Parts: sequence; C-alpha cells; structure tokens
Amino acid sequence: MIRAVFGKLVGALTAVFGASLVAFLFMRVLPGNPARLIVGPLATQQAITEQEKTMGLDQPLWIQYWRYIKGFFTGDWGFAYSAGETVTHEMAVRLPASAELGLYAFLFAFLFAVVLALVATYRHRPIVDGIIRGVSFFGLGTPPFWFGLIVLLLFSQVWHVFPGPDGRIGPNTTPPPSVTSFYTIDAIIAGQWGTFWDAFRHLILPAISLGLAPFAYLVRLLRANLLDISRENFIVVARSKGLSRWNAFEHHALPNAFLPTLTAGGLLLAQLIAGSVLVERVFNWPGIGGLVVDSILRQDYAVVQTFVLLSAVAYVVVNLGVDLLYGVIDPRVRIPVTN
Amino acid sequence: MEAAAALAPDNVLEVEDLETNYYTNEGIVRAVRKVSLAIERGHRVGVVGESGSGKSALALSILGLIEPPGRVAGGSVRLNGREISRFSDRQMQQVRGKEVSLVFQDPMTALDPVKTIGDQIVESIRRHTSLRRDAARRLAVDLLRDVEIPHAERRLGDYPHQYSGGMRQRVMIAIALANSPDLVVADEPTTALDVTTQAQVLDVLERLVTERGTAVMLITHNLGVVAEFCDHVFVMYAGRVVERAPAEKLFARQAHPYSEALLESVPRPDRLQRGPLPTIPGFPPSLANLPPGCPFEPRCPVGRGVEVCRTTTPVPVVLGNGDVVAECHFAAERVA
Repeated sequence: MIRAVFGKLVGALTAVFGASLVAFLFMRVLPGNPARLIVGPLATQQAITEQEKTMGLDQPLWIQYWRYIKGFFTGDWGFAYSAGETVTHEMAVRLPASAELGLYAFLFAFLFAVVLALVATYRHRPIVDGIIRGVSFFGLGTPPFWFGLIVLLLFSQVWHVFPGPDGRIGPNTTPPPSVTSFYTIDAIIAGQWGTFWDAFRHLILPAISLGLAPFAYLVRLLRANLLDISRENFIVVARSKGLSRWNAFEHHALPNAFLPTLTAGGLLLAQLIAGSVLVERVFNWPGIGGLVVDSILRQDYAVVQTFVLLSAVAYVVVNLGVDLLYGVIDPRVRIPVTN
Repeated sequence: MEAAAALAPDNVLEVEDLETNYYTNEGIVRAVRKVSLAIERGHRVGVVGESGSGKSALALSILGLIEPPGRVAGGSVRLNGREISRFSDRQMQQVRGKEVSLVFQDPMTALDPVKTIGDQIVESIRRHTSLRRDAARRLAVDLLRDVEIPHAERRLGDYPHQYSGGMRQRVMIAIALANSPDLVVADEPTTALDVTTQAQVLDVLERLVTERGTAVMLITHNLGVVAEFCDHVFVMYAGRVVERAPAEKLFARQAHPYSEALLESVPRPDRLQRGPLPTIPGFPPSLANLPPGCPFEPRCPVGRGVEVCRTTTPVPVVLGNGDVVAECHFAAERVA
C-alpha cells in the first residue's frame, strides 16, 4: 500500500516537473523578445538590456528555471507586464471566476448526465433512448462558443429569461464580501439572497455552454456502463430477492456504473476549472482563459508558466483524489489496505 | 395429464401451457413452448436439457423476470394456488424472495462486487420482514453458518471477490433460503464449479431444503446431479418438455430417444468402454425457425428420415401407470 502511494506520488511529481519544463522551454523557444515588447518599439538597445536584466533574462537558462520553480513554491509568481500587476494578484482575481464557472459546469454536466443516462436505460424504451443518444451526439458535436452565442441570443435577447453577457454579476449589483471568492457561496455566507440570485442567474448560461461537451461525454459513458451492468446476473438476482426495478438499479447498477465514470469525471473537472477561453470570451467572463491567451501573445512568461504549472498541479491533485476515492468506493481496490 | 396436474391438491407450483417468446430482429424466438409442469410441496424436480433448450427462460418466466425483448406470451403459473402470471411487478415483488427464490447459474457474477456479503443477505431479509438491521445481520450470520461458511461472523463483512466460487454459491443458497420460501428455482447451481465443490454445494442445498421442507426446481444439464437429487425429471428440448418421469424410471428406461442420448453422453464408471464418449450429433434447432414435425428428428437415432417424424409434431403419449409422458411417435413401442 505504502509502495503504491509512493509510486503514485513519484508519478505525480514527474508529471508536474515535465509540464513545468515544457512550459518553460516553449516560451523561450518562441521567436521574439518579451523585454523588447515591454519597453516598446522605439527603445534603445541599452533600455532593452536593462529590462532584460530586471526580468532576469540575462541569466543562464538553468538559473531562470530554478527561479521559476522556487518562485512558484514560495508564492512569488512574478510580474504580469501586460496587466501591470503581479501574477499572484491576477490569479487571485481571475482564478476564482473560472473555478466557480467550472464547478457549476461540472455539476450541471454530472447531474444531468446521471439523470439522462438513467432515463435512457432504466426501462427498455427505444424511443426515449434514441432521443437521449441524439442529445448526446448534439452535445459532442457542437462547438461550445457557438452554443453559447445561440443560448445568449435566445434566452437573453429574445426571451429575456437570463441576463446578457455582463460577467459574473449585473452592473447594478455589488460583489459580496469575499470569503471564498465564489460569488454564490460568499453571497450565501453574507446572507445576501438578491446577490446570490443575480450571481446564480449569470452562471447558468455559461455553465451550460461550458458543460455541454462533458455532459454529452458522460451521458455516453454512463449509458453504456449502465446498459452493460443492467444485464449483469447480480441485477437479476437482486430482482429475484423481491427488489423493485428501481431499487435494483439504485443499489446495484448505479454504484457499479459510477466506478469507471470516476476517472473521466476527475479529468473533466480539472479541465473545466482550468477555464475555457472561448466560452469565457462569449460571456465576458473575467476568468483565467482570456488572461492566458493575451499573455501568450505578449510573451508574458510569468503568467503562462504559472498557469501551466497550476493546471498541471490541479490535474495531478484531482487524479490522486480520484485514485484515493477508488480505494474508498471499490472494495476490490481497497483490499491491499485491509490485508 | 395437464389438467390432472392442476387438480392435485398440494402443489407448490403449477405451470400450464407456459409460452415465452423473445422478439428479436431475426424473428420470434420461441424459448418456452407451451410447457406444463407441477411441483409437489417439498419435492425436488429436475429440468434437464442442452444449452438453449429453454430451461433458463422457463425459470425466469416463473419468477416473472423475463426482460424485453422477451415476454411471457401465454399460459399460467400458479404458486401456492395463486395465479402469479397475471400479477403486476409490484405484486410479484412481494412473492419473489419470499415464496419463490432463485439460485443463479454463475456464482462469479451473481453477487454484486461492490456490496458486502452481509449486506446482500440482509437486503433479502429486510425486503420481506420488519427486522431491524442488527437483527437481520444476526440472522445473516446464522444463514452463513447454515451453509457452512467458516468464521461466519467475521466473513459477513467480506466482499464477493474474497470468497471462492463454492463459497459464493453457498452464499447464493443462503440468500435464496433467507425467507424460507416454498420453492427454490436453482438454475444450474453447480455448473460453474469443480466436481468436489459441486458435491459440497449440493449437499448443503439438500440438507437445508430437507430441513425446511422447501421444494426445489433444479435446472441442469448434468444428469448425475439429477440422479442424486431429484424425485421427478422433466427433459426439455427446443422449448418443450419432451419427457417427464419419476427419476428412477427415467434412469431405468427412456421413452424419448433424446433422453436416452442425453444419458448416454454422460461418463459413467460402470460403463468403462474404450473409445470416445457418445455425443448427440448436430445442434438443437433454432428456436426462431422450428422445422415442421418433431424438432429432434434431424438428430434422432430412431426417427431420422422417418416420414411421420419429419412431418407430424408428436403429441404427448402417456405411458405405464400414467407417470411417464413422452412426446415421441415411438414412445409406446420403445417402452413396451
């Protein structure tokens, strides 16, 4: 058991190290000089050299890399020149916005996928199953930004059900006092129900747009799993004990069908929290996606490097969490622990 | 004969003209074709036949567990005198596990891999009693002891993969007998086990049903198991019961050539002949596309090519003092 955990940790650290190295080297292989971009096209060679010196670009690569890694773990994430702020500050502002949106998108995707997969397989109704498979295909094949534009047009412009693309809250609402930086949660903590409702309404359309593809993917996965498992002998045995069809499904098919979904769900969660550039653009969402794209274009080394390392860490942490969760849920994995 | 069975007073189960079809893309598969059988209270009946002869479909039809594309298309199933084939699923939920229960074919897949053995037994108990959880668990421990699982108390919290195949099948028996049903339908309970384990599992089953006076419908293709265990035998072929007889009569003399062929293809120590074991040539007919005449005709050592066998479906022939019935044109002269 200890060896297994140790092995996983070594693998996780290797993955983070690899990601940091790739991010670091790629930024430096790209043509162009960030120092020149910062001081402007009319600057003298001397000014450029000065700027390179303050950014540490005159140092050998391995020293730069060492500073990058050391800075990441000590909380010194460098300066985002394009934004004129420290990277720490930029991330602190934008990461919660992306994370909140990602979390809601994930919740939407997961809950609806479970419900629809159940409806599709619970009784053998070919028409219902066909419709749900159609929805799933649509979700997989639709570009999220296009879907975002369409729902904005319909639900905001035509029917006025949901607010337009004005970010996390409406222009007349002030953000709740910050505790978690998730507006919906902070609003509940502060007891500001009006703010909560406004923030929640602003989350719905972007969350659905962002969660559509993961939702469709999970429906396919869960539907196939449930279909396989509902044909298993232990389901017939459960029914032969006198369990209703629903109880047999709930107690025996669902827990078994969830296991393989866990891995996929973990990866999707990490992916969603890391933000989506296009959906954030469509809804004017002040998240991390837009910042990263701008920073790549402006060769803002510090932002891109930090982002890559952060998402690598997020993936690794989520995957480790999933592995641990398997140990809790699946007794066949738990065995080496108990014996 | 079929009407006579229905009139007998103390039958646990009376099946009459039961028909079960599977509606597939290749056509209607007629898995059970007007099968009638009766099981007396506390008796043990064997249903024998090759794979695909409709035995398992018969078992599931009795429990009302045929899933689409299959459907029970006709006939009646009476359990303890009540017509359960007309029951709704909700009504059947009160019957399944309480009055009739199932021991399933393959012990490796019949238990939920992510639930403990104890939970799976308790689930069956609590479904039909108002026992509290701890009382149900104590009952589960007793049941595990009954089926001879060592250290029952400790092993209650184990998961199926921590049990051997034989132990799992004994757990299945414990689950099936948890509410002391009147009838246990055991679908190939020992097929997936090695011979030694088979004998142990069968011994456990025999002891428990004798203690409780439970009737058993044992579905198998293993005639050795039938000889050891059953009072009465029903031989199934292509969805029909082609011969029914008391066990000792069937083993002494087979009215149907299929029964004889089946018996001959079992290795027996008292017939240590050289050469390969006899087999039944060919395959059972497709149940979606049955030939006219006797379904066994193409493979039959007696009737192959015979005009009457090719063209006319045999009717049940009652033999002896009425306890042997065979669907064969030559049944009377074979037994005479």
